[in-house]
Amino acid sequence: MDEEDQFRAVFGFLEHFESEVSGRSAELLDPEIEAKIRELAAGTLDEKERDQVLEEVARNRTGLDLLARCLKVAGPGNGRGAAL
Amino acid sequence: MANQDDLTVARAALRGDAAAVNAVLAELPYSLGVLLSKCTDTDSEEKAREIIEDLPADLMAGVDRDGKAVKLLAMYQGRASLRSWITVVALSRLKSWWRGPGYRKRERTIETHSDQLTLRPEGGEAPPGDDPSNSSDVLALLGDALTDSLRSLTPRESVCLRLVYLHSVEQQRLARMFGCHAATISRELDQTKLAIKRRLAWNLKLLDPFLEITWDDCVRLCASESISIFDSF
Repeated sequence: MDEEDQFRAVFGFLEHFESEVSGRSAELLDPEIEAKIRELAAGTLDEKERDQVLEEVARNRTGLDLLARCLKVAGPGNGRGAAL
Repeated sequence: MANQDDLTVARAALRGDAAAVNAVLAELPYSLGVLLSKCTDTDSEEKAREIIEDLPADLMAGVDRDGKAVKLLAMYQGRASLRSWITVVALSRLKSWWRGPGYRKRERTIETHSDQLTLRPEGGEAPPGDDPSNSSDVLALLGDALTDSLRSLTPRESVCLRLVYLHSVEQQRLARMFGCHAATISRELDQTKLAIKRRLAWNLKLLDPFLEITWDDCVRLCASESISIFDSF
């Protein structure tokens, strides 16, 4: 197992563990935050706003899920996954 | 959170609330009882008592890490009951000591199945010799140590790691979001991963000074989820 897979296993464990212990209740996102997350994914926020939204996303699972979805549909990357 | 009351007590104890401190300390005799039930020689019994005597200082007085006092109890996050968590920490220390050179291994009558951790009714006392914890408690220790490691990250570091390794977001897309080169993201991730490994090793050492567990061991545990770290004993 290379390091990329190791970290996938670690985060998978934490995700599974958290949801098993506390349940996965969907947290509601403030529409304003949701809009900011979409702007963050689009790369249109300035540094200060970006840091503020990142702080919110870091503690909000629903926000992180939304950011991930937005990034995945934001257009083609370079085809490289976790390992560059 | 399943053990919110225990978590509240632990946090109050960390703030120095006397009643909460006493409530935490009140769990120690139970843990000692479990440890002693596993011992079949006087050396082990002596070590068990020593481990329990050391726990209050580790739990609440703090251990120096990079000039900052870190309290073991701060790693408790309510995933198991406080009683189970403390007992698993103590039991882990005892079992690690048994494995180490400090203990001249002798014939012991502990049967393999006594290490199979079993569930007990919530709030109920375990029967003599029964272990209060279960394998999920052991994994909870690893989960706590990992979660604490992640808490030390900046929001940017934490979000990037989760996006890449939990949601499989391409690093190129993170680079576009941050307006930087992909190599910058890659370098940042490498530094963050190294920091997590170091912090995790430190946290596990704090939980169990005798435990010799490597990053690879942790990964195997995370991958299997069902393997007890005691299985190698």
